[in-house]
Amino acid sequence: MDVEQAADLLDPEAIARADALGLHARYVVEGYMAGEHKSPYRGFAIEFAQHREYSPGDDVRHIDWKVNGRTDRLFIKQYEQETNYVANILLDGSESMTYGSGQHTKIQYGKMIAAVLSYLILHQRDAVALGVFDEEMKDYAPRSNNRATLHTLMARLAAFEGDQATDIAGNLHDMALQTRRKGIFVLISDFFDEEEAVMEGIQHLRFGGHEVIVFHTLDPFELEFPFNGLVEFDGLENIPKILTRPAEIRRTYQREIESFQRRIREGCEKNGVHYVRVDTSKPLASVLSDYLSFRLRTAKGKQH
Amino acid sequence: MLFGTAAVAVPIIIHLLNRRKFKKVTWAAMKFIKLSVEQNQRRMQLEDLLLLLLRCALLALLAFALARPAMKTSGTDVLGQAKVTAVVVLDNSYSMDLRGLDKKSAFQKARAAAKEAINAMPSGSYASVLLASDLVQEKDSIISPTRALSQAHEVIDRAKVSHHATDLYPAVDRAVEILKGRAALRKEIYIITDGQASGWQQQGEIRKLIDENREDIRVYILRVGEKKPPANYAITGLDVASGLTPVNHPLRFDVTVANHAEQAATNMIVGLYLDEGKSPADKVMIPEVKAGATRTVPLYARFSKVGYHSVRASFDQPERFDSLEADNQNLLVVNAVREVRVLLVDGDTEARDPREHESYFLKLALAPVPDHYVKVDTTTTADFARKVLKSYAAVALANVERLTPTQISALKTFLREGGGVLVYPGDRVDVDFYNKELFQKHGLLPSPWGVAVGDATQDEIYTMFQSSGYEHPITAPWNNRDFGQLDDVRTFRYLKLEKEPSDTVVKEAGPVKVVLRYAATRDAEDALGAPAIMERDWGKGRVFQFSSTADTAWSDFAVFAPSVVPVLYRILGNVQAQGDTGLNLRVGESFLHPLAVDQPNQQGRVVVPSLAQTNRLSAEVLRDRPVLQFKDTHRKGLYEFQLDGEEKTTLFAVQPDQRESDLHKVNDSELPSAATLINWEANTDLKEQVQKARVGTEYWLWILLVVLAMVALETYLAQKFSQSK
Repeated sequence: MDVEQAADLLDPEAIARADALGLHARYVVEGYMAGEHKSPYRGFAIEFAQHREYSPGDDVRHIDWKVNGRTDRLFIKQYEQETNYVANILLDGSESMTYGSGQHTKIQYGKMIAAVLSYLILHQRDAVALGVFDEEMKDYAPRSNNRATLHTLMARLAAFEGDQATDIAGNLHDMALQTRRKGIFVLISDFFDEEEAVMEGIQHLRFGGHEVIVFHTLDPFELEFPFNGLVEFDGLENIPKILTRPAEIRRTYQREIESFQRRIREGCEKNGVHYVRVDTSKPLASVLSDYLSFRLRTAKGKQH
Repeated sequence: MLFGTAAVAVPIIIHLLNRRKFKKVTWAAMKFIKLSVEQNQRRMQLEDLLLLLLRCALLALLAFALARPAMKTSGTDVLGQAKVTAVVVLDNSYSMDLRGLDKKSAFQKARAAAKEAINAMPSGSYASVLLASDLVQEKDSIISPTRALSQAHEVIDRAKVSHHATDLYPAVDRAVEILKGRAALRKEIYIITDGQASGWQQQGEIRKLIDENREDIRVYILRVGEKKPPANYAITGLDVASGLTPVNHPLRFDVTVANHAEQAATNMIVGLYLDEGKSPADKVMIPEVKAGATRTVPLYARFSKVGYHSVRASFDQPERFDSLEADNQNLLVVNAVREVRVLLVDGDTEARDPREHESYFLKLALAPVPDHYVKVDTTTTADFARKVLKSYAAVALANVERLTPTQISALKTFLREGGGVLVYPGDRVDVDFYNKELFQKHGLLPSPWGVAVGDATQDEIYTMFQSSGYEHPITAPWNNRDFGQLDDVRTFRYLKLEKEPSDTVVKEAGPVKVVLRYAATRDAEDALGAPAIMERDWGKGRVFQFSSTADTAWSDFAVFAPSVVPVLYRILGNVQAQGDTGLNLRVGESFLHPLAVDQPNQQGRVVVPSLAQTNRLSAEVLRDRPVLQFKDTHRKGLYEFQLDGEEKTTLFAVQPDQRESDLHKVNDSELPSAATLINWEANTDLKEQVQKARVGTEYWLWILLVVLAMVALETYLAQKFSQSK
């Protein structure tokens, strides 16, 4: 049912117009759903609201059997997903995200993550707000739980092209101040910024009671640094050029980038933030399904 | 080649060019590159510098190894052999004719060695070939180094043993001079010799020459022939002992035999052959000649015809005991005469008894018997002018007070044509006149008369003649005590003669020589005694000046027959042979025939009978006088000379240098230490030995090894440095 609707919304033509983004999203979600009998959104935004008497047509999975045992009547659990929860997807659209060694640049990959998550969230009738930022918020789609907005979101995502330096922390602080209602913040970025400031921004969101999920998006070349010979690195975001022989500094570089990832991850974990490292050479489907199944497990744990 | 060091710039240029050639990558994670670079920068710069220095040093060393100082000693075929410029000095002195046990002469072996030396040179090399004995035989040599090595082979093939003695210094000097003028990398001299000691008589000079050029020129001595000299006997002297050579009189010839062998020689037979005759005119057996000694024996012969004759002294069947042919005989050319006329001018004929006349004893000494072949006429000073001097061989002036200008003029004409003049002092002689006119003005006397020494009235105080060390050819036979002795003569008074350069510039006056001296006195100024008889050439003639009287007034020489007769005869013979002095030459000496001043364009010819060869001679000027000169006297033997338009044939003899007879070898230690000595045999691998030396010390190889080690180090470091850190 959901799948068919999603297919309508993300029809191939619309997707073609939207830089093939939607197609990826649909493919990912469909593939995911085809493999799993449980819907992925089940573990997503789950906050118990109230009981309601069962009426035919309701999902039997939501019947509260404990109440039935006590009262011999059928009640179903009702969740506050439609009204209370907003997923704020924030995509770093700075120039550094435009780097890509393989099929996708980091920003393209980030857009795909944003698209797929938007699709999923909208399909479980939750609201999505999507913002793309660099030094400031460049494109912000206010929250909506209308599935029809999905196409608009895709188009806006596809149209965005980053060419500015980044200021993650500033944007996070802004968002923390602006967003009163508790929700989920999904932050997709390479975090090539002031690490401590970024962490402060994340902390700010957490103080606001928001749940934060970080998708740390890195290119495989950025991880492996596989260059040889004499290379001039022309820095994005107006950083001066560096001429060097990468082979001779590869280990140092790898050490540095690993410790950078570790710092980000540790900072996230300390603040109760889900940290997901994203390698843009890996298939998006596996990245997301890995995370979502992890999330389901932890959410289940939370329920008990 | 040192331009190669410019290659040092290559790595620097490559380094700089490389810095311009790089990949460009647009990159996001600059922060981490910056961090990594900052951490590694110092190390990377150091490594870069180290590699750059290593590469520069490597190329510099390589250039150095390929440059001249290293090339000079490198000789492997890997790099290709450098060309050689070499001078082959081929000893062709007559000792090289010596045959070894294999019946091959040393010269045959020397030729083979010379060819091998040339064959051992890398292609493109240059070679000179010098035929060397005591001179460089230019006509048969290649002086300027040639690239056509086949030409060098031809010259070696054509080369013959000469009759010269060896003295290698002139040839080595020439070889060094030739090589100094060449801009070649490798210069070599090959001295191919039998190692005879006489060749190295100037070894000090040769050593100096080789040492001075040792950096530049490598010298090889290729020694060929027998290691130990075989027995050699030589006839080293042949002399007319009687002085004069009249026909039909027995003449005494002194023959000197030398034994250069290690053992005494016994029963050697020496024969005297006249005019190239087959049977000897006289023969003598010498019972014994001690090892290393000489022995002089008299032989007698008689000429029946007036004119030039050849006299040959030779061993009987020398091939039985002697392997060197050239010195087994000795040749002499003499001019036989019918009679010898002498005019005595007596300055003291006033006494009634002719025995008191000044010339009495002189006449007696010259012509002791009637009808003697020496005819003596006596005249007074006054009558002297009327005599026709031309018919005399010699004129003796005995105690003549002074001469008129006419008389002087006549004497000069007489001398100019080859006559002999004997001048005796006495109490009548006007010393000042003699000194001023005859010595100073006309240059006729060898010496001025000096102060009188001794007192004639005193019988107890006298001076004797020297008893040994006779240097003049006239008195040389008395060096052999068997010949007689001169030191019995007592001289009571004499006028001092001095061998001093005269300041006259008379062109016709020749050099002055001392014939005989008095014994040296203890307080003498020099070790030699005062001159008793002196001589000087004047024109074609010769003047003999005595220091004491012709009669017995001052000396008993005149009555001491065993001394005075041979001395006077030898003086007369010397005067007579004066025109013939150039008839007995040593190998290499030029034959000279003086021409009359009025015939400066006279031509002549020399026939070499042994070679059946005729050489034309044209007049040339030597020491301001016109002469005919024949230089090509490189072979011993008899030569015939004839003036164009004249019937008369003059003979002259060319005799090898007797020093060459001594075959003793030079000791290895006496050879120049800077030269490489190779005892060459037919199976000697000369090429290997020479090339080994061309390779020399392997220091270019060391450089190359260092370079290789540096290449390895460079590779290792470059590898290590490029590993990621």
